Amino acid sequence: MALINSRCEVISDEWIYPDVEGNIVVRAGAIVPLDLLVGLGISFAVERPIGALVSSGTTADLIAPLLEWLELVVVEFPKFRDGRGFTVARALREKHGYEGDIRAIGHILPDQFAALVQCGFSSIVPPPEHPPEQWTAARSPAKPIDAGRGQLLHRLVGRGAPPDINR
Amino acid sequence: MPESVITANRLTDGVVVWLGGNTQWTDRLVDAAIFEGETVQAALDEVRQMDQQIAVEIREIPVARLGELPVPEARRERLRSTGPSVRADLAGTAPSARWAQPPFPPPPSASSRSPYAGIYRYDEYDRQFLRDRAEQFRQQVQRRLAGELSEDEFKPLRLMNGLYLQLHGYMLRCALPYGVLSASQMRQLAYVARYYDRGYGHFTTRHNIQFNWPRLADTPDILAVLAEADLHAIQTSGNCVRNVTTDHFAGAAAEEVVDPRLYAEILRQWSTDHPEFTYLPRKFKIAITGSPQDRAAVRVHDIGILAKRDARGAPGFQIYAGGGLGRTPVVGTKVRDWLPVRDLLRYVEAILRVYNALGRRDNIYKARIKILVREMKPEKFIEMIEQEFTSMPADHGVLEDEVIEAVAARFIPPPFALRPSESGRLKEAMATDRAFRAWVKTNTHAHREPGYISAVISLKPIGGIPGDASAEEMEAIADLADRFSFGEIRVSHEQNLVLPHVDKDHLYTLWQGLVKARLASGNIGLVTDIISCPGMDYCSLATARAIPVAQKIAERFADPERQAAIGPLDLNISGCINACGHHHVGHIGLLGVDKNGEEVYQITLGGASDEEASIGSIIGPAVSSDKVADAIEAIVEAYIVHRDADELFIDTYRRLGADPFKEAVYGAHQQPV
Repeated sequence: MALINSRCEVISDEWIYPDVEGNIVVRAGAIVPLDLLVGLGISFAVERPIGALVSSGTTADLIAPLLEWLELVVVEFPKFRDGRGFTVARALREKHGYEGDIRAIGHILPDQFAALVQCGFSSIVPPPEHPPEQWTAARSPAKPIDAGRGQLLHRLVGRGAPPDINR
Repeated sequence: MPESVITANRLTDGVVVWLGGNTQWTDRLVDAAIFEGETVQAALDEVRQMDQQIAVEIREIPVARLGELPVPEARRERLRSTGPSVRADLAGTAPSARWAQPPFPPPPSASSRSPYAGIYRYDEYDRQFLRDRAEQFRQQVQRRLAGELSEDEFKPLRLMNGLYLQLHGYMLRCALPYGVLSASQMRQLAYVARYYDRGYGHFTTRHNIQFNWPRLADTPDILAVLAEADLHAIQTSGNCVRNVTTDHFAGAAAEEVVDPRLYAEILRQWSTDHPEFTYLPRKFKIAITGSPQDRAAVRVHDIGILAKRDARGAPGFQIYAGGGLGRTPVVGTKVRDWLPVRDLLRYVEAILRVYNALGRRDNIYKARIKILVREMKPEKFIEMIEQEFTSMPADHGVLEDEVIEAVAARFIPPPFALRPSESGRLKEAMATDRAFRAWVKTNTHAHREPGYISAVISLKPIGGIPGDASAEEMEAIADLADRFSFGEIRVSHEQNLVLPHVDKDHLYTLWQGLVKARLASGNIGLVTDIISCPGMDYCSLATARAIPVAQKIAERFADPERQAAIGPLDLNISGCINACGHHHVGHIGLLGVDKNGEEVYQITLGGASDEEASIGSIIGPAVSSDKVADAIEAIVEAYIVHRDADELFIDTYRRLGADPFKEAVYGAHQQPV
């Protein structure tokens, strides 16, 4: 699957996703729906590395108990207009201190790249209708994701400042 | 057999178009192909498939025939075909002649700066940010025109930049953050109105100005022009944190405790392009006031903030949440009695995080935070905010004193002169000029600085369109602001403009200037100072027209003596349930609805948006548009009969309830008179 990182570079993806029929394998290197992992009792049943697939509507608090066993959290966006995934990522990073890979998947737009990264996403699966080259093209210089700048407030207020959140 | 035509708006310029006989789009209804019965479906399927890069909102509409001419059956579609009923003067202009032809002169920002206006002073970063945003939108428009973005995907991107598609075409909503703008910014708005629109703009109830006729292809240029004057249209639409609103006398009013502009600016910067809160369940509105008199309607906002001072004089905030108007009007719940300044962003962020995670997304009518608060119950909601708030990292988003000071330093205090509090010249003018005296009584507000006063410029001339201003009027106001108010202008949520800092010695000269510019209506706070949304004359959501009703009522009460005798009275009109005209919180509210093709108006009484906020109650069956002025007159006459000396309308209503007013409108039979 095409994958881009937080610098908008195309990277290889070794993870095993649930297939189109929804068949799931549970083994090292697989992405498994969160509720299934909860049901399996993840702490002893699963070989690492393991990723959790988090459907929209799942709050970060529900993922938190499993975080120490997860190398990857994949957050689903059913519609790009559904912004719950942004809060999930941000809460995983800030409230729960998660340092693993957080990946966005689903209906997302190249125009959302900066926001995704600022909220803590570290990888993105571009949807088929918006292949990686669109993401590279749409990445605006206006988005100060790696500049030490921002509006006055963002320069002054530590972590309350969205543009600085990834630093 | 039922007949129909296919209509759309042209993608590039928004012009209303119809599908002609040769599957070409035409802007002349007379050339539209008329389809009989089911034959329309095949044509519709074809153009929806083929013409996505040409036309948007492609749909069929039923028509009747007037001779050979198809006439849309729905009022909305008839208005689309003819233009706004309140601007018959525009109807004769063919789309090809609507817009000015370049080259245009350089914009006013090239030469006009208003160095003393109390706007937040941008630095090069801020300016470049706006230029980059305009450039980013230019690319998005190009991707849309090239077919790289579908309309479904492009729509939220254009909405993030304030560009709507309305009845007659695109509408651009430009933010005037917390209602403060400079004379040179006003000139820039006039420039946009003149060269990119049709010579006017509409000031809304939320510190915005709307341009009704911009072309999509021009919009990146418009945004670039606005950026040169530190103006933008970012987040004036979409499900994000909208323009923060405040008191139009902020930083000027004598009774004010805390100047809220500073905190409004901090909230503006915090919310601009916020990565987490740009795709919320629904739009989100924050209002703040620093005065005991609430002129910002904070209790009917998603978050309402009352800036106060503690016993030692330190500023802090009381926070309300979950208020709102629209389909389900609610007065907000107090969620925090006292919040130190340093925690403002942390607390607001906690509220938004709870809302973004848990607000409903399955039903657009239940997606506002007010519904979440109601469904969770306020106690549980408060508990969740507090839990989110306390679990934030301790250094997250703290507003330290030096942050506040740095932002405050970007506001330049006007260089007030030392003046005695009383002005002999003002007294003399008031004694000799009766019209001036009446205007001073209604249109001014006491200033915190001795010898100064705030003056309101009414955008509600009798028979006019509430909130509309022509490019020439904007320029006249800008000139008066430069001469009399340190180049500073405010926009009120009542859709009027304010010159906040006028030397009392010069108030008479200012008034004479306003008289000359025909901007001296002395009706602020009176029955003809009507808040009205654009209604069906412009808005695609409206179910009835609002402006013509406002005009009829204003004409009925045109006599200034009569208005003065009636006294302060808020009359608000909305053209649909979304309540942009704030009808729920008008002392008298009118809501226009469609009843079998007829425009009728529900009357509510007892609403208020101030510190005693309340939602009005419907008094009976809706009245037809030609009876509205009679009904309002009956209500006002009943008030005059029943009021105690000096009692305000709202107080009489609260004392007596609705009965005397129902009786006045409906008589004994509960039918409209």
